[in-house]
Amino acid sequence: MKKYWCVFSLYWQENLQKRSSFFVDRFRALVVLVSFYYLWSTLLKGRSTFAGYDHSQIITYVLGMNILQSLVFAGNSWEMAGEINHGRLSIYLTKPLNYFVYTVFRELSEKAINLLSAMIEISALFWVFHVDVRWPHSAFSWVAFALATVGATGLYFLLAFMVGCAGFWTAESGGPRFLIELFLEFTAGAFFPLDVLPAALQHALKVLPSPYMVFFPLQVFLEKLTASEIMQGFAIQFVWLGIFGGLTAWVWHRGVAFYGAEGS
Amino acid sequence: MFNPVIQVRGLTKTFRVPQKEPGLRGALKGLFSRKFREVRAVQEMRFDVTEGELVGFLGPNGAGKTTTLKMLAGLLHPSSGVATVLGFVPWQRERAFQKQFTMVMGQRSQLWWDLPAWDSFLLNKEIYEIPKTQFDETVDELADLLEIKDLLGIPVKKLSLGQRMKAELACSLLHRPRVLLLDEPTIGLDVVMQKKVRDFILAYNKRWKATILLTSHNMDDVSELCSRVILINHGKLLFDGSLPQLQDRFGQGKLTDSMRTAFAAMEVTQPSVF
Amino acid sequence: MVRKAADGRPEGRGPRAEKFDGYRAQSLGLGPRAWALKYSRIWLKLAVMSWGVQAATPLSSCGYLLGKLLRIAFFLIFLSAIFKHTQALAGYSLEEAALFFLTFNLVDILGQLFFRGIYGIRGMVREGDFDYYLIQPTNVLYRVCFNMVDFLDLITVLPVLWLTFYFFRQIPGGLRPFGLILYSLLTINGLFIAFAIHVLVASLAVLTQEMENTIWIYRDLMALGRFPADIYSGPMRLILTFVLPIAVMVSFPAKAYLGRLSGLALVYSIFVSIISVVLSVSFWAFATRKYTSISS
Repeated sequence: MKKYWCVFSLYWQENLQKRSSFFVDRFRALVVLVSFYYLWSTLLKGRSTFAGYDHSQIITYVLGMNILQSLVFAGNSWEMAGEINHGRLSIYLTKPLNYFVYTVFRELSEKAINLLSAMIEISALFWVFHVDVRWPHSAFSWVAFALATVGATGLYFLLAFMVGCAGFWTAESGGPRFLIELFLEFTAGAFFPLDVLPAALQHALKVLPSPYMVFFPLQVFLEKLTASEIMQGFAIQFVWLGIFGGLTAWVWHRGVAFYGAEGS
Repeated sequence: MFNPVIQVRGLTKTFRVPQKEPGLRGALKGLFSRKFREVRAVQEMRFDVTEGELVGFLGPNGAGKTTTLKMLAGLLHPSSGVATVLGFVPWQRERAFQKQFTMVMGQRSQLWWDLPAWDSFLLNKEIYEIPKTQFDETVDELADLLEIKDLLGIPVKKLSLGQRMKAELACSLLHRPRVLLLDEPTIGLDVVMQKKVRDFILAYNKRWKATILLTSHNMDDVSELCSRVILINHGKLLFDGSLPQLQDRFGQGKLTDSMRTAFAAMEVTQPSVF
Repeated sequence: MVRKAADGRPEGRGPRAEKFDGYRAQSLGLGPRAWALKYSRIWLKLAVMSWGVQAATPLSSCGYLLGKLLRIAFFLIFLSAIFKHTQALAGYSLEEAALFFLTFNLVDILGQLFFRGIYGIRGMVREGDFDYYLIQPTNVLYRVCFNMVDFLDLITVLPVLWLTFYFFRQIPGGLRPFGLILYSLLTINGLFIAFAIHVLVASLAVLTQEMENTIWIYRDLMALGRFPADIYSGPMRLILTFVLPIAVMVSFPAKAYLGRLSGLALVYSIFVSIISVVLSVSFWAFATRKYTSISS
């Protein structure tokens, strides 16, 4: 276990060493935050709610979006495809190391830094703008939110790992990855709350895995869901976790076998 | 021809290198303040090279070979001192100068990875404004000498390391440069391929009276190619003369041994440069 | 052309040139026509080579192309969803807001089409390609900008243009020729500012050798212009107009078309583009002078 903590620590250091890109990444997240803050403020000017959100709820959504994005979507398991393409995977495979666990810790390291940084930024925003956040009223919501976030992180991680495995068969995973990320960003609610959309579209999205990466946890946080809706949400998230987990394991084993056969 | 093609006087280059403290705390500290260390990569270098000479630049890693070469190519401004190549000051990067020399970096490539080398050749034709007839002639000659005629249509990524190096050489020589700066041209190649590249360099030197400066770790490169060697260590010129002179001064026998003696002597007289 | 003396020496050189006349003889400049021809040939060659690279990875290219189109489609869906709940966004109708969004896309995509190479500047410096550009007899900035000509953007720009014209017609009053001229002028003006910013980013990358993501800051700041700049209030709007002229780049063309831009703002936007191009190009010259190669 110690060696995996070492991985965590090393990636933490590497991230801080590349300080400019680290700050740049954080700055980017902030810009998105600002842009949506103004959009929603404009839309709420002269009215009390917009699409069922009052001012404090929508601000909470935008801030939560920022935090969840830096937690759920952060990481570089996509880089795996590149590692495979350039033959660097062999370095890991020949060591007494579980590549999957290794990746988990590498990701955790990245997420920890991002989360910490997002917290600091948002505290700064609190301090400067005195934003009005809607905190959950019941302890149950906090617990459910935490669980939903863990599930969301797992979902994204498994998906990224699975798509990263494409590197076993093709050197062209860049474009599809771009497509998937864009699709995720919109359909996960990492851009705007999905209930702004027409009802038909919302229903269609409900069965996809992506809303359970950002939208669902935030709905729980905002206490916009009934107990049965929360149960239903967890059920769908759980089913997707199962599907992704199974698929990832299958693709990974096929991939490693293929990699070995290619002798690269 | 008595005018030296390359003239170097008091050339000096100092770099500032950031230092990193180990561990998590060090990384955090480095985020806000960094310490720098001065490295004198090249010190008071002085030499001349006349037309048609083939000079080997030798020294251990970090001795300052590549830095010197980069200053002569105009990639680096020296901290002090002067140099002229073909009468130009390299770091002014005049077009007329750039059209008359080339630099090959053994670990880097100017060929487009995903495309056949031929495409990169055509690009250089436009960049160096090479007339069509001269271009065709040069490509024919170079492809013959290097035996790469059949390889020009294959994407570079599918070529072996040696084939790639040969294509790289051809691509760098399309404009018939009069000065060649070769940085580790045989690095990573197998013995057979090293020999072929060496033969080509020699042939090119003879044929076009080109002035060639090359750095290498490989003793065979030097003993086979270079009538003259320049040894440097810690950025300082240690020896400049012919191979027999080198052996006279630092012991007979194998060239490698004399080199070792030379560097050892350097360490004793110059215990610490930094 | 340098006039040559009887023995082939270029005239009017200093004593140093005199000494090395044999080498100097080749130093002939290009006339303006030959110069333009040389550079357009290089552009064409680079464009064809970039196409070759993209065509060699069809799956990846398709992914990028679809992703770009999807991004535009999704955003338009989002806009129209918003307008299901409201009549106006900062005083603009759906069609007008869509026009702002499309103008942002137009400047963004054209910028990528023309200055795509800048995105790879960090790689060029790290892998040493930049060293090769420096020793070759072509303008280094030109080479860096055009090293990658992205044909995918040429494909995405077509639907964006089509949609822009569609919304031009949807806005009450129909297509206005004068508005169209102003719109095109200011879009080109915006591209000049985009060029200046790209050059600034490239200069920073060359100077520090680590500003890997700076271009993405620009992209994100640009994204502030997806919405009409009028949504930003107080200091933020001042920043977007005067400090980071995003509003000038992507909001002004649409405003001008809608007849909501003052003459003063028009003059100001041209002033901004001239100043920023001049400053950034001098900064580039400074950066390349300071450049020290990575492996010392």
